[in-house]
Amino acid sequence: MLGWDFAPYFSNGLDYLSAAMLKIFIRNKFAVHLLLPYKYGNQEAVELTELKPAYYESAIKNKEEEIDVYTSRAKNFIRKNYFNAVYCNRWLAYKAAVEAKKISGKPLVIHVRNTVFNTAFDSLRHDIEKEAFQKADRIIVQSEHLRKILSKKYNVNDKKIKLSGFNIDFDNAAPCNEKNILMFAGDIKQKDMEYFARIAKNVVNYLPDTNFFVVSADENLKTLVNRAMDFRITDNIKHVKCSTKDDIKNMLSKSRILLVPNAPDTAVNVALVSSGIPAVVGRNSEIKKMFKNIIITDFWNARETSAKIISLIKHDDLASEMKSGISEELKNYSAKENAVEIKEVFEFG
Amino acid sequence: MDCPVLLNDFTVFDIGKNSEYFDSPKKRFSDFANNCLHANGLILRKLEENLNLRVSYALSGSAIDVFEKNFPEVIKSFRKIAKTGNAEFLAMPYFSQLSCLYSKNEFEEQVKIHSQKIKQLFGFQTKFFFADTGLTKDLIKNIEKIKLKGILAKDSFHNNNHIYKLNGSKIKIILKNSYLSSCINQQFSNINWKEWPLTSEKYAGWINREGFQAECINLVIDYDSFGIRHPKSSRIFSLFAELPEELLKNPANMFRTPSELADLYKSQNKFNPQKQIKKISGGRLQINALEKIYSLESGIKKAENSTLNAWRNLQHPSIISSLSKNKNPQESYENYIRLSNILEDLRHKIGKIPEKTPKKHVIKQKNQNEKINKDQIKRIYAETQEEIIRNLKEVYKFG
Repeated sequence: MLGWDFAPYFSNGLDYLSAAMLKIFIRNKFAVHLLLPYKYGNQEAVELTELKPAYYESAIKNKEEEIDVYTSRAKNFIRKNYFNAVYCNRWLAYKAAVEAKKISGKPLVIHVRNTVFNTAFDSLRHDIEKEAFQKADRIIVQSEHLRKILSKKYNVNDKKIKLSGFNIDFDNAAPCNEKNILMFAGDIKQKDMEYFARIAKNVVNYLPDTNFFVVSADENLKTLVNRAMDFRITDNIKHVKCSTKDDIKNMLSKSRILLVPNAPDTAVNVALVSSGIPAVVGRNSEIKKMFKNIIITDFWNARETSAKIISLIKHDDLASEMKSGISEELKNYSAKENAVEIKEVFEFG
Repeated sequence: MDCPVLLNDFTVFDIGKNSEYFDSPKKRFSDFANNCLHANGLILRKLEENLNLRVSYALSGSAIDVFEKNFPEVIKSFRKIAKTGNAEFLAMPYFSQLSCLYSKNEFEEQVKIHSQKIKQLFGFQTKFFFADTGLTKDLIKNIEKIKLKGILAKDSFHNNNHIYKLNGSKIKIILKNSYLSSCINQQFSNINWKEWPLTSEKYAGWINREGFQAECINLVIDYDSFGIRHPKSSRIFSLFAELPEELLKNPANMFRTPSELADLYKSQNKFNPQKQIKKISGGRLQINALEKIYSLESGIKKAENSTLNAWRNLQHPSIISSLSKNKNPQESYENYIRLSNILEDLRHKIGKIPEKTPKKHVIKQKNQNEKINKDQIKRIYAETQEEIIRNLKEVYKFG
């Protein structure tokens, strides 16, 4: 398992998807060797190797160089060790994963969270993705929409794309009386951050005691901080770091509304929405296609989005109706089935 | 005949500033209006050709409003039908049948408004009630109190082809023939239906067969069957052009309006009313919305006419059914937000909530699609400048 995880991380340095996958691997009795840039926290159940590119926690300075360092160090490891399959879910590690397949001849499984078409366009990333998707033996996606992007924009053979379910990790959170709005920004586009600031401004103007919790380690935070200063709402916007699952649980218990922008990690957001906290979701988000009991909005339309957030805060009965709708929907998802599917993905004839 | 009411996207920012609650119906119903004209023309011709033919109309208030304001020619065509003397107009609450479940007073007022309107437009005094719901004892008694002589209702517990009476009451109850009505309303143009295509001969045959043991057969046809739900090409108009003659071939058949029917028969059959009308099936949002709407009743009755009217339009069943989570929960939530905002605006208007003081730093957002001309740009520029100066002043106050 080749990883490049960073905040908001969940479980001892692994982000949500990696932690969930690791759990599935262990449950299915796979021996896993993790290749990560840095060791963070305690990964007991697996063997772990640190590859140490310059990047750690803060924004990457020179992506291309760091990817190359990571890749060449990964190659060293790959030549000396034996394994049956390669798994990777971070685009930064795709290149190393492709090398691993080339050197070892073992099948490559790529788990796609999103592509360059869901986030800010970046030609380096596009090229890396394109090669990785072509070389991969299996690709796991979590939505029909991503499957379409892969087959249309990257010409990936549809037969090797597998659709997987989700791990629903959070129990229904109790309703919160504070006017707190939670957003996991992840790989959010700069533009979306700009919209978000405007949305926050509108909401705070209407309901001054509203707080926005932004979970992000991204460089886009600068945009948000600048805008918040322009709009004089810095007191209402709080940057939060979530390192562990308990942190997330804690944040969820403090939040009234979940704001899901278009780009970020689908796996995290599915888990968050499943907590039953009423979610306001971007029209282009993957989440929109997976849940029915949510409110859809256009993020660029700050007026529309902020009006919806305010209405949700004001009308408790609506929030509780959405919550019960989500729990109904979740009955259709099952963590067990998901594990079986993932196991099948790794069975190569 | 009914015209669904649609809510505008009324946001929290519109509360206290805007009273445009409803989507303009002119565009939405122009097709419907055209088809109504076509259908009314056909029915008028048939009534003039055949003096034994009878027809009755249940026109909802929203339909009357839409036609009166936007398509007066449709009202004219109904007037011509009324003039033949062989048509009856049925009584009903002007805005919503649901009013009977929440407020006796409101229900009675709405029936009164409806009957005055029918009198004003068509010179017809309503005598018979059209109920879109089931019937409880209370509802029957209420309708009797308004001095109507009968009720045409939906019911799945009694044989639809008889005339009934509630114990201790004089009012006659007749029922919609659900199966035969739905053959036209739902199935007519469905080519996968095993009875497709339904000809007037076949349909008359079914009616004749049921007629052996019937006192009456009440066909309740939705008006959007004409040309909207079933396109012209489905021969829906031809069916109705041929049906009267086809039915009258059987000498045992005759056409009667509900009132004539009530005079014709002494009812021997006992009607067992429902204990409770199942309010709505779409979930909690609908019940909450209705409770919120009717909780404003006492205040709103003292408000000015336009406010009262808006409140009454909110009761329209199409709005309540748009809150049903069965079809599309995302849409139902948005509609609930719209409705709640409108109700809050109404609450402001009737003085239940004091107006919010205007907020600082709110820059008016312009609609993206709006074309801004030079004058507007100048004005916005001036406003923005003022805003900046105001903001600067405040900054220096604290600095």
